[in-house]
Amino acid sequence: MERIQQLAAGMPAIEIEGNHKVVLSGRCMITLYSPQEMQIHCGALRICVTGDGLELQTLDASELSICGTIASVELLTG
Amino acid sequence: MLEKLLHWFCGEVELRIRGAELERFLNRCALAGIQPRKIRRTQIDEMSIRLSAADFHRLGRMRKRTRCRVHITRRIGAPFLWKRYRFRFGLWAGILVLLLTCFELRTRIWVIETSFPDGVDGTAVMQELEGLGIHAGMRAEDVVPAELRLAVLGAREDLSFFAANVEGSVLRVVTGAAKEAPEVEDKVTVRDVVAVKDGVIEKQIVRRGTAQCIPGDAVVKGQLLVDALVETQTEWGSDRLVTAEADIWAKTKYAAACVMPETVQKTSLTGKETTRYALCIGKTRINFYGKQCAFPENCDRIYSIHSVRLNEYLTLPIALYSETCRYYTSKEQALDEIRMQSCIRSGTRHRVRRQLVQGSLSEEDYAWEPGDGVLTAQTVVWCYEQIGEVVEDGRTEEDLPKEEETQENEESET
Repeated sequence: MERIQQLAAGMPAIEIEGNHKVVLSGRCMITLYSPQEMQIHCGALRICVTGDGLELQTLDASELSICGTIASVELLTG
Repeated sequence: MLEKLLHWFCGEVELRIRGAELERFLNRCALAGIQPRKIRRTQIDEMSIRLSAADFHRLGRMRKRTRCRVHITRRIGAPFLWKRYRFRFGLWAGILVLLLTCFELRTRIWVIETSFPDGVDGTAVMQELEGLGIHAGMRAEDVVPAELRLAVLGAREDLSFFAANVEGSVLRVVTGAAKEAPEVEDKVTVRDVVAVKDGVIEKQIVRRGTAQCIPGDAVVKGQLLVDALVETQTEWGSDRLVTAEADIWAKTKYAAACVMPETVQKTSLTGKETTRYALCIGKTRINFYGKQCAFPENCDRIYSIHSVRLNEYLTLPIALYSETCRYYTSKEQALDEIRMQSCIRSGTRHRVRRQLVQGSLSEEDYAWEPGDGVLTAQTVVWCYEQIGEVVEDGRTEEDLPKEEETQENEESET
């Protein structure tokens, strides 16, 4: 229920599986895409994923998943 | 796996996207409901993605807005395969023939697996099945197990159980032997009990007939031990002939002479080993060795055959023969006297026991005679065994002395 409310408020849900997969649920836009760094804009939040060999595994209107060797996931407001 | 198969059936294309605004292109795809897969950034202004054929058609409107160039690098899937080979009629005909052949072969029986326990004549059962039209290569639907069972059981009296089950291309036949009816003893036949060997009677149990000996008597081979004629003990009875039955236990004697050499040739492996190979394809043999490679005499030869087996029923006519030669040296070794005597004793006991039908060994007496490179043993073995054997008498009721004759004999005596 909380998750639905969050998604309705425009906030993404972030799931991290180990250091090899990050799943973002919600409406997300890609602002930077490279094998070392990816920046995704989700509503009021900007998420920066850095690592090595990053690839977009899934991309559709409600979900985005990144796989590869993930070094960090940064949340940047504004 | 299933997802990959589905994508393959629907068809997909691999694209190379070139442009400055690749992220915008991806965002547009996500908004339009187009799901790109295997997205890989190959260069700063280039990436490769994979789309389904339906999504590719929807891409056309969108790429102009994103100012990206789209190039098809690969077409994957069933629709493109069909487009490429649709006019290859020979190929499609061949595939169709293959499928029909596989289907036809699958509906036939190719292996008949049988189970014949002791007491069942397997050859006769197989001949019976052939007579009923059961053979390898026949259609599986032509086999009706219930009718087959009735036909075989009706024809073969030595079977108490028969079952035939079709499992794919295998027909499994299971049989069970009928139990023989016990032999009914013919009490009318006149039989005596005679000795099969010389001996001294120690114990006798006479169930029918008249005993001719007592314990302690020495008997010879063929001597009558129990007579079939039973004389009446009362005034109003009469003599009669029966089938004699008795257990006669006697002490018997066996004599044997054993000779054993005092030295033997003992072999020991040298460790040297050579192997040669040959390949057999059908009836053709290909030797992978020259004619000079002949095995000498002082070696043990081990032969092994490795054939190519596809499954439980199918063996290809290809086999690899290997012949290994292990070399040994032999030298003469003297045997210990105690060990030789032990060998002779055990051998003698074994030979005597084989001659006993029912009995055991009781005493043994050995006389050892060494000399001339051999050890000779003169042995006498005493056994306690059953020596009675039932044989046909040949007499009939007509051979019995009549009452008038017996009265005349009694009057003449008085």
